[in-house]
Amino acid sequence: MTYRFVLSAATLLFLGIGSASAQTRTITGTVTDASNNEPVGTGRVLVQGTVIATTLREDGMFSITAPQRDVVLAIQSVGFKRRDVAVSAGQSSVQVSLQRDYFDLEAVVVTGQASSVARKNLANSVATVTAEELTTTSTASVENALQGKIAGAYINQNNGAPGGGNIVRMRGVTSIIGAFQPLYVVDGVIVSNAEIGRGTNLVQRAFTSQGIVPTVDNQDNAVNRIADLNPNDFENVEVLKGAAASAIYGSKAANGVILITTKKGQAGAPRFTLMQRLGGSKISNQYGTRCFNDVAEAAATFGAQGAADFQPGVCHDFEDELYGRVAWGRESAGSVSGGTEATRYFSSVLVKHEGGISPRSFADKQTVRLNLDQNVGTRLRVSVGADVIHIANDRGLFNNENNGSPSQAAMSSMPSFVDYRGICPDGSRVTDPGKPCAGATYPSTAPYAFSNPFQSVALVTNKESVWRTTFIGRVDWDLLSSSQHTVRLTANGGGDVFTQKNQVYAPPEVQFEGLRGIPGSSAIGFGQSQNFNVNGNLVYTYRTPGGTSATTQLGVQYESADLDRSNSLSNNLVGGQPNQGSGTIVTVQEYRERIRDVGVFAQEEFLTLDERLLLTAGARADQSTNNSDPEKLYLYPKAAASYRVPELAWFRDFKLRAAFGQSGNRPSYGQKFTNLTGANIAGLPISLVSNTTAAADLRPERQTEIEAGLDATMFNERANLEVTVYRKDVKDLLLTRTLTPTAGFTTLVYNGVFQDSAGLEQSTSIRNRGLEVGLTVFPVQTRSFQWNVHGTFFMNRCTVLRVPARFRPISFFNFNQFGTTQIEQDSSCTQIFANDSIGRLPGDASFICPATGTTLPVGSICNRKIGDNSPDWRAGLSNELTYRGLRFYFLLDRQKGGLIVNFSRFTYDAVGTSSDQKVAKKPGDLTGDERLDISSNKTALGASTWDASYLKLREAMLSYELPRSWVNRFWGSARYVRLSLSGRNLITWSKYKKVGYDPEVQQVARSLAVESTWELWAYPPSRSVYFTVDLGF
Amino acid sequence: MRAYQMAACLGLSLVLGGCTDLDAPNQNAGTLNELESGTPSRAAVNTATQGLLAGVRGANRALVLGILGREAYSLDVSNPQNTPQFYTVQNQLTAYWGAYVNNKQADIVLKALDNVVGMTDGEKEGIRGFAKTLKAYLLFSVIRETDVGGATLDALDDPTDPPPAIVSKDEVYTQILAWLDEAQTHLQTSGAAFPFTMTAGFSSFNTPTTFLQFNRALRAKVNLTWAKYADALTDLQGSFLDPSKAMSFGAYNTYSTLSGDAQNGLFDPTARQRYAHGSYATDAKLKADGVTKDDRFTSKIYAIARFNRYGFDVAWAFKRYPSNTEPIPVIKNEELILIRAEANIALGTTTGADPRDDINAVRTSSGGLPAIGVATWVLLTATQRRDTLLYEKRYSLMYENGDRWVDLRRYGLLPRVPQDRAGDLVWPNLRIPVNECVPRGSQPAGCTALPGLTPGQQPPAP
Repeated sequence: MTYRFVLSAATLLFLGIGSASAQTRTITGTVTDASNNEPVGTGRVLVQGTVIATTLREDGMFSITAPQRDVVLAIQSVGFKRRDVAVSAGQSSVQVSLQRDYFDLEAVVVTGQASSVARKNLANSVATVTAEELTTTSTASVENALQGKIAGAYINQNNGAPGGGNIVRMRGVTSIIGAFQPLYVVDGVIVSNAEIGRGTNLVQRAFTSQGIVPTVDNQDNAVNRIADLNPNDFENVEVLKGAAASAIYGSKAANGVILITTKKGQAGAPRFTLMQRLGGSKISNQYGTRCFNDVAEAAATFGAQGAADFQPGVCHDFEDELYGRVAWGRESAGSVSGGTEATRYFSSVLVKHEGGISPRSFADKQTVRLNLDQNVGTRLRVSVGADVIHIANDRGLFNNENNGSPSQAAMSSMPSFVDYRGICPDGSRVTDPGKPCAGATYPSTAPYAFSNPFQSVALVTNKESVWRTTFIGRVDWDLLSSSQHTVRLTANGGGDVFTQKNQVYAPPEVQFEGLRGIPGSSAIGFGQSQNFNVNGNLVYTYRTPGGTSATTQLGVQYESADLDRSNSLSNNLVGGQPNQGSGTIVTVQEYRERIRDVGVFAQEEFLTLDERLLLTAGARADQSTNNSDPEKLYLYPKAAASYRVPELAWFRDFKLRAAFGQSGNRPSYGQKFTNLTGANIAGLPISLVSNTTAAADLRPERQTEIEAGLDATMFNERANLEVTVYRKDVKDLLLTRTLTPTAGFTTLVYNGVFQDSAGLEQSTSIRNRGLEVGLTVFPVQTRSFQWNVHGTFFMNRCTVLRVPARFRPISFFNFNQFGTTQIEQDSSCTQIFANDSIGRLPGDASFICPATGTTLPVGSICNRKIGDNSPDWRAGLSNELTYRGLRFYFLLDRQKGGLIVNFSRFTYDAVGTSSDQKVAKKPGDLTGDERLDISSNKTALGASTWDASYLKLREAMLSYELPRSWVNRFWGSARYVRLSLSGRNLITWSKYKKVGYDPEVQQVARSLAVESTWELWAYPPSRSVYFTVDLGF
Repeated sequence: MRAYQMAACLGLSLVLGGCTDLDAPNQNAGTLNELESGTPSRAAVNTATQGLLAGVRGANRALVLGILGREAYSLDVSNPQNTPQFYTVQNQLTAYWGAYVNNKQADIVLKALDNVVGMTDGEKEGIRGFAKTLKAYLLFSVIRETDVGGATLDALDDPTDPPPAIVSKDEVYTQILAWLDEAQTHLQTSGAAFPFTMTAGFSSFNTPTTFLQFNRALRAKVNLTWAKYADALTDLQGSFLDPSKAMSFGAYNTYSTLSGDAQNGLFDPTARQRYAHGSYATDAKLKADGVTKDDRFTSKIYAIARFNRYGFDVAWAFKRYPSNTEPIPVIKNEELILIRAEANIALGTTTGADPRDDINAVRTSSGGLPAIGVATWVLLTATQRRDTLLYEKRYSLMYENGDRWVDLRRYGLLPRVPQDRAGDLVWPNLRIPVNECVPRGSQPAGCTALPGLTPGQQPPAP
């Protein structure tokens, strides 16, 4: 139906194709780089006031058919400043030299569904990351490539599992329980970043409902599906951080929008690129093992059984035996692009294998893409793009459990004096746990632990296979073009479809499978996501001869999103067969979503005063079936202004800007329903009223953002400074209110409306205020040596403006014992309270406890704020040094503040297996016994919760591009040959590493901003190094 | 939708901002509207009525109360943080949560009965009697835990209303008895059969007449727990107490491994995390041969390799539930016989039967122990008789509904539970959950922790 609409719309557009006017002449020209007089290889030449355009050839030449009158040619090339050249009626050739645009001020930035402005006029802070910056190192997912590069984006890699899994938060806390990940748009089409549970929990049983029946949940260590995309295909990534910039995306834009533009073909002979990477990763930090000196120590920790099993002088480092290897990876990518003036193509292929340090875990990705641009006559351009992606991975068993299945859960309880590695039939030990000998048997870890990790990694699989395709179509039709008026109709739409298949299989002989008397688990999951969206836009531009222009845009957007996930778990597998039919106990679950959204928008952009003043105003109105009233329109206005100050002191370019915008965050699917769920008791059908009910007027959260800033280019274009401050208020916050049990429901989902003490109706709201600074400096810029420095810094403070008294968000990991989020008026949105113990940590002194107002002596307990989940600030600093073909680059990423709870360490301490159980690592540190003593009944910062500050050498690269003259001697058509060595997460400096893997570790992949970060039997993070060869010809 | 409709719709959106194809009904379940608005169907009311038995299942507290009464340990290496809340800080894991959610469903069913189509008045009365009996059971499951802390009486009509008062223990017991008596009236005026179907565990009580016997049995237990012994004896006369029937005859929670059902969560075939308290082994009485222990011990508990975890010395595990579908008793004949004995001992009467006969019936058939002779019995003081009775209850109702802890509290004997680790405490009640307390301005008594008692202060119970 909707597909047919697109077809019919396209047909309609074809009918309107006009023909070029008759009286013409030909202008030829050469375009060169002003700094070295070498030809500018790519670019575009446009006859001002018309739609006549052509592209530059590789030798910098162009030839264009222009009207028989005085014309102005606009010449643009990426990386250069635009130049307008007057060509009189009698002139037939021009020589043009372009000035370098070091700070991409001429690059256009998307500001509407179908309009854009040059960065130099942009009224918002929009971060742009280029293709080169995205592919410096090998990354699992595109978000990793953005880490440390964008002021305002908190990006966290949840663990070390191959294949991705990240959290992105833009400008602080945008929602308390609502969606928080940004919206991803590829070439104008919204693509899914869904995270469909793998079904791991069906085997690990961390969360169960109805007694002991496990369900799929958010502790599955799933991949958020944006990881599927191939970053090598991206031309650039633009990041709209908040409502001021993203209002045009309406009720899905409150968490920011990440706009991805893929590479397009350019006219000319085919250009090929080939890239081959080869490298590997290795565990970056370890927990370590406690060695037991004598039988008394063993008995004190493990009881009589431990004394019996004790072997003097034996100390196995299980982590080393399990994760000690280097995990190899490789990546092969290639592309070809080219075409004629009328038909341009870009096509790419990627084959990637990422090994995992946990035996048998891996992530594979294969993608192909084709982008095609076709001119139909001079007024119509049609673009299509499609990619096909295949993903396969195995991520092992990690994260929360209730049957001891993850390796670390078992390791923390296992005595190091017993060798638990597999035993081959010939009596030797299995040395590579991922490749055991045939017939290997495994010692039982009972009664210490429930599973033998060496057996689990050898026999259990946690596989995923995804087939995904996105297809994008775009039609631009110039309905009218004169020197003063242009009217363009743009239709842009596409689909994003994937199927995800998961299989988690633990054969009956696996130790933890025997625990429940129904050995053998086979969990399969099928997820299917079908997203389709289309938008139509009419853009009218009026230009006065004086250079003032007004752009009016009207648009409409329709989106549908359907998700269907079904899981089945088969237990007690007859003959150990993984087929669902071979189990005697089968549990089936299904979850579906169906969302329909409609939006309309209008926008006016007014550019005047010699392109110095830009004024923008617009609005979007949205409907969504996720709202209680699907017909109701929610309006999101925006307005922005920027002014470029003419020549100011030593500033080359100085811009002041301010923007205002609103956007929404609609309720999640199904939140508006009070379910009457079907179930059964031994086959007798029953229905159960859900514990969760919703307010009758559930609606989107509303974010209002005001940002202001300045952009300045200084010191003869040697430095560029961007400073932005913003204030972002979110009201109508979606909240899950924990009802009194007597309410008959445990949870109410509502928009936080409450009555204050004066009986007035109030809306729950929060405020984020932040500062973002971006500084780019070129301290040395000679022809042979360049030094580029780029720094970002940002801080965000979230404050609760209004909230019902004593509100606590519902979340899985809010334990009093490990800190709980306390949302209080006038306090930080992410403050963590806990029972702090006084005097247990070095430097503690008696103090006045806020809860009681009395001075408590050393040794007592006080419930107080122990920290904040949000970092104080984050900063990134990159340095790039280039000497001829040699390039050295590194990126430092720093986080100050934030909290992390370490449950894994708690289990080591509780059993008594921490390497520092009895003797502190350094004088002044706590021992395991001391930590346990403090954290068993109470929390103290430094005993169960830790400061998550870190400094990481996030990326580093050394590359050498062979001199072209030398290469061309034996390979004439080569454009470049580059060799590089790059690394990722090479070094981490953090005090947290004393007790945990890494301060970025987060076990609940969909964790809310207000939830504590937890390390819980995580996949150990690793550092990776790759050698890369890049060829262009 | 046809292409032109879509085109028109998109066009209309531009002008009117409205598109009519915004229909996305609930994809994952029915909605409460099916019962609350219009005229609910007979089938919808019946399945919701049957759903109340899932709530009864949720009220089983064998594990939590078993830990408090030192019947069981739960030493879960996956959740070591859970251990302290049973021994060093007061627990809030009460039946409070599930009870009112289920009673809310009962209220929804009772309201739906006013509008249901295709159901006779007699059938409606049957459902009313059934639903109110179960509401009483669930409120009882709350008050036996919060005890002197009191409880709220019923779920709110509108979940956003201010919370109702937390009333005293006596008021709660009065309400429970009132519901049971209202249920009795409904059951007596209902038709011969229920319109809905009972689970296998309630198959002996699947008509209004037989269900009334369950109602009275429950009332007897409520009255006993409230120390209204004479009333308990009266209630037992209408119950299914019958020494000629099997001790196990009664009402049970049913479990299965079917998809969409729950399994018996107490089934722990490899003694993974749940263990039996060692005092069961030391306190078990010997059979006539002087060597073999009480059948109730040997049939429900087995020895495992001894080990130490979190400071607990563990050597025994339960085999009380040999499969994941094993039914768990709600109330059974054996318990009713012991209730009769207990009430008679407390009153010094022999209403219905001599308490010695009742005790002997249980200890010989269930325990394989020698009967207590008259000569021995007459020499026992009232306290000794009570302790004799408590032994039988402890082994007969082991790991079923946590009655051991409730019984010890009723007689002020909680310090009798053994001390396993220095510093451990035993709690006389469970606190009302913090979420029930927080929205109230002034904190009712039940919201404040009672001091924990130090166990092991008196000689072990018989």
